[in-house]
Amino acid sequence: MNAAIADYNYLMTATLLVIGLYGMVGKRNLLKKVIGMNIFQTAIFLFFIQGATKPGATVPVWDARISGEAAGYINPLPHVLILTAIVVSVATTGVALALLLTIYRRYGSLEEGTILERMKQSS
Amino acid sequence: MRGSLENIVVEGVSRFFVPFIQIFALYVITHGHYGPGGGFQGGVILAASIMLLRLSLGEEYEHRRFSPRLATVVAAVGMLIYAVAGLLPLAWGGNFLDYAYLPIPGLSPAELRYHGILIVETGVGLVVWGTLVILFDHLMGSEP
Amino acid sequence: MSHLPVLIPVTLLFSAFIIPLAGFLKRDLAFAIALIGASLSFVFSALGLLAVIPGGELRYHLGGWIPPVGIEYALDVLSAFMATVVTFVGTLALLYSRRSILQEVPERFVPMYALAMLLLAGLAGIIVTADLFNLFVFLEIASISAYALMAVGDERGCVASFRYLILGSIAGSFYVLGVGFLYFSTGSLNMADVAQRLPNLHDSRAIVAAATLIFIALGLKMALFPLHLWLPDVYSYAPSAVT
Repeated sequence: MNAAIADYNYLMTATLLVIGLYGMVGKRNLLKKVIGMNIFQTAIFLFFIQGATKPGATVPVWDARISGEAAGYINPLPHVLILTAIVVSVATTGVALALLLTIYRRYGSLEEGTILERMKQSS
Repeated sequence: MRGSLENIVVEGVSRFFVPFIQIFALYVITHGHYGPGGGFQGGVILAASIMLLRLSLGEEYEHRRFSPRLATVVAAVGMLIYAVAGLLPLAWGGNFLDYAYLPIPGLSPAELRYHGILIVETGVGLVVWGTLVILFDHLMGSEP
Repeated sequence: MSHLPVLIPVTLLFSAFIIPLAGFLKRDLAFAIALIGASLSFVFSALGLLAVIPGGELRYHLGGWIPPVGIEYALDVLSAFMATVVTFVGTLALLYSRRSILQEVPERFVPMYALAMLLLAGLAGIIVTADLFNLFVFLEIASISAYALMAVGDERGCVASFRYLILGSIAGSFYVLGVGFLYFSTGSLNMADVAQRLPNLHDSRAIVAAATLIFIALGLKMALFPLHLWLPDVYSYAPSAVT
């Protein structure tokens, strides 16, 4: 239990992840699913950033007055990976919203149950 | 000229701010290698400036200034800048995206890599700008 | 000749971005460029296959940076063969897709070809790359193009595509989590480097978690048995050329 409390930041990331997963799977409104997807992806980014920190280190912009060697700066590689993943997340959210717009125009509603009913009626 | 909102305060303020937003976006793109920023972030800010204009001035007026077709062209041109900056070193003996072999005279390889990154970041900024404006137009307009 | 590993996805990406420009001028030009790009990529992968069969592999350092600092593309016999097959099938599918697309969705002719090029570029990139995170980037390029391509057809295609989008982004994010675990345990993103460092760490729980996450992610994307729910709807509602 002590270890779990000591790593409380990872616990909070896991909580966000599960909240996002619940939003994607448990909610019936399609827009809430998209929001859940964004929360889920944000939790993953937070996990990466937490893993990149080092104790006592600072922002990775080189300055001779702060430190001369690499141990004084946090690892910038995960930050670059997160940037790429954020771009992917933005693109996916854009496509999801465009799809939602087309679904709304066609079926008149964003609730999953209503859409499935109308799909069965029109087929 | 009046836009569709007919509210002079909103129009005046957004028209005033757009050039400053775009200059700040240029600053973010060019200072990406030394501070927070870079191509994607600057491109998003540029797209935000266009979205501000579209929201405050109305679509018919804005489409004449920065039409959706121009956004597609900007995105394609940005990607072509990136691809050309990547493919040029192939002809001069380096690998793909190896900026040390770019054919700019009078610079050492380290400086060439420095400037090569800047060229590529500008390309990425243009791509993101064009793509986000296209997305915004499709979501807010009535085009298919 | 040694530039082959990178040229295979780059020609497809390049043509994907020229197609909107050409489509503004004349619609059939888009189809011609798509065909040229796909067949050029097929020629490059066939050349690559011929170059690696005598033995050895082609390793290519992107940007001149040596791994593990830089991203690396590798062509060995298996990946060159897969690249040849994928680009060959892609070229054939493009060749015969013109009439089908004109019949079903004529107003979206140009964007369909741009998206098809992006999809092929993503698939070719997945095969060619030897870097774990680069694989994620190409995986997502292919997935996003697939989400958009599937939604164009039947009206019910949008709902099927949305379901695939939600499941596909879960899969992509799980893959990123798995790669994160691997990176924090081994310290490198290069596939060969990680393979070298793994035997020393076979007792670590993080590695097991990473392996599970990556397996689930790729299983979702490939529609492996328990995770295949999104596949039948998508196949029934997409336009014929996309399938």
